[in-house]
Amino acid sequence: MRTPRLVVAGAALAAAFFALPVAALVARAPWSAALDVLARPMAREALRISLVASGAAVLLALALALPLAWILARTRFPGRSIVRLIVVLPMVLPPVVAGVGLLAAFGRRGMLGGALEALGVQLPFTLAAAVLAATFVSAPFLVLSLEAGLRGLDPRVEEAAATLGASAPRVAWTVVLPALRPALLAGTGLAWARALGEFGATITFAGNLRGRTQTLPLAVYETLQTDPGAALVLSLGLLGLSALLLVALRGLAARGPA
Amino acid sequence: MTDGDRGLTVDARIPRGDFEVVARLAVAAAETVALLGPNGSGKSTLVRTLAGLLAPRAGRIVLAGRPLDDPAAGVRVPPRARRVGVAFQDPLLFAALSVRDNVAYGVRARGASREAARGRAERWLARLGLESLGAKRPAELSGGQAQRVALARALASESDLVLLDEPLSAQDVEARGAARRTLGAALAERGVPAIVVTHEPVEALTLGDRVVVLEAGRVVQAGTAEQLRRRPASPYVAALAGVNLVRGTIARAEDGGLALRADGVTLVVARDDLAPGVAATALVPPTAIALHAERPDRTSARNLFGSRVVAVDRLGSRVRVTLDTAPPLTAEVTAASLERLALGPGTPVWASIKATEVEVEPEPSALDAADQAGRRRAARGLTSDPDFPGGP
Repeated sequence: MRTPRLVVAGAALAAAFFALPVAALVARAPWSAALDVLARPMAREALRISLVASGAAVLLALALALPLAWILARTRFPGRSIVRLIVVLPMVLPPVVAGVGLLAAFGRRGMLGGALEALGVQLPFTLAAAVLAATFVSAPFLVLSLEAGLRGLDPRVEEAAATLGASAPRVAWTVVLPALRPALLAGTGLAWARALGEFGATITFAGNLRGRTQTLPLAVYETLQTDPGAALVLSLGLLGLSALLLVALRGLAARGPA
Repeated sequence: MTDGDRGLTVDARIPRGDFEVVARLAVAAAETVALLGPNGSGKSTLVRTLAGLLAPRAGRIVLAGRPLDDPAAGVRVPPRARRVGVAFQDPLLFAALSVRDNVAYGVRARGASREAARGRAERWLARLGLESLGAKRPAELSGGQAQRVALARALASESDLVLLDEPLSAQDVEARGAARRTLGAALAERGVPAIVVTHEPVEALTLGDRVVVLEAGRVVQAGTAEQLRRRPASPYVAALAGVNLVRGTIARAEDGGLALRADGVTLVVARDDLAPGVAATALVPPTAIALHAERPDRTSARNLFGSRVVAVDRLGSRVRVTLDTAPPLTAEVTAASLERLALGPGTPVWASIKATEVEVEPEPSALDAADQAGRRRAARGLTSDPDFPGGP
């Protein structure tokens, strides 16, 4: 069947809509000043904080998502669907609301503020807050992806491994993890990209302190007000970083199980 | 039981949904018990219990002198510590590992070095005719190959008991006879108690030294094929043990092919790889024997002979007709054809059997026959076959 012209035209329009901003970034960036901008202390610090915060957030998200996905995929208990709803809520929550929520929970005057203070821990406006903000918004991608992956596994294969003498950690390492690899890579990619781009929750909960909590997206926003050309360069840097991440994870996924 | 200390004894009550499986059986070292039973009789429940995946409610399971389950004494050995090699109905292979590493998995999990485990895996792959598949991934295998890899994995592990649930169900019909002989020899090589769950009477009679029949969660009968034939404890046993077993010598048939000559019958067989003079056993399913009131003018069946009806037994809508042959052959026909043929004790009748329906296997040599059961099966397994080369 021939594809209707209207559909072709609509698809072309959509593709253009998505391509144009990226093309504009490339076209309008002051390339001659690019190295200069990227060498600025502000840019280098923002890059470092972005990498540290998003990397730590992804690791923390993995640690939280694995047991949660396991429970959601493998057990039945009353209220399971409510738990899933709460866990994925950050995906649809406006990030600034997430930030306000984090403040209300972990802020100095928040619900756990007193308890944290007693322990000598102060979260808001620290790098740890930036990590928590990024974890809060990115972990749901991992939970959903890992839950789907675990559902696709046959628990009887793990039983077979146990009858062959494998301990639970050995079964997890040699049977479950390799089988979860595609879900793990896909979920990690999505979560990392989301953590890298996080803005609203971070600026609300961790603030915009240069050298301490200012991530690349925050630096882009701040620079845009005073030096639009530099903001374009930083944006391209962020774009390049995300693309690199995507390619790297794709490469890992394509290589198949080791 | 001569090898009591290396054998398996089961006396257990296992909850299973709406009923309880009461399992009572013993398997000696190097003995293979065929576990037969209709669907839902509790066979797989018993397999899962022996593997440690289900817990008995009461009773005792002892393997090689070691209690595996004894709820009263608080004993419950987990699956990984039971040393029970299981091949489940589905292959359940590890998708991320090569075939070789699948087979090596159990050896490695029990502490062998990677090299030693791979070496043992290679040996068992070769044993089951799978040596060319070692580097492949499970996703690249056919159903029959995956099942054989799962068998190799279960056999290669250092276990005190081998449990095979429908081990040949995914094999091509043509390859089954050879697969059975290979499996029989492999079990003999392991030399531990083995339980083979099957639906197939032929499989049960050829692989099992004894047959245990489970119905509705109870062991209704246990014994040799001969004992089950002589005194079936239920219609199910009668139906499944009714396979005709004819022992004789291979000879040239009139049409140039091979035949099995017994006391009173000669059966043309569809095999050409046996030497005349060799002692052999033929299995003829009762449904493979067609009965006719008159001598049929044309039939494609290469076996046709006249006889006389000795007995007629009704089993529901099926009827078993025993013929006056030596040994007595039993045919199974529908109640409708019984009416049409007007058969009763003493009625003359013509019987025809297609040569392709006669399954013939060479008997073990006299030397081995005098030896124990395991050696007997080993001899059987050495029959050469292109699809299943002999062991390493």
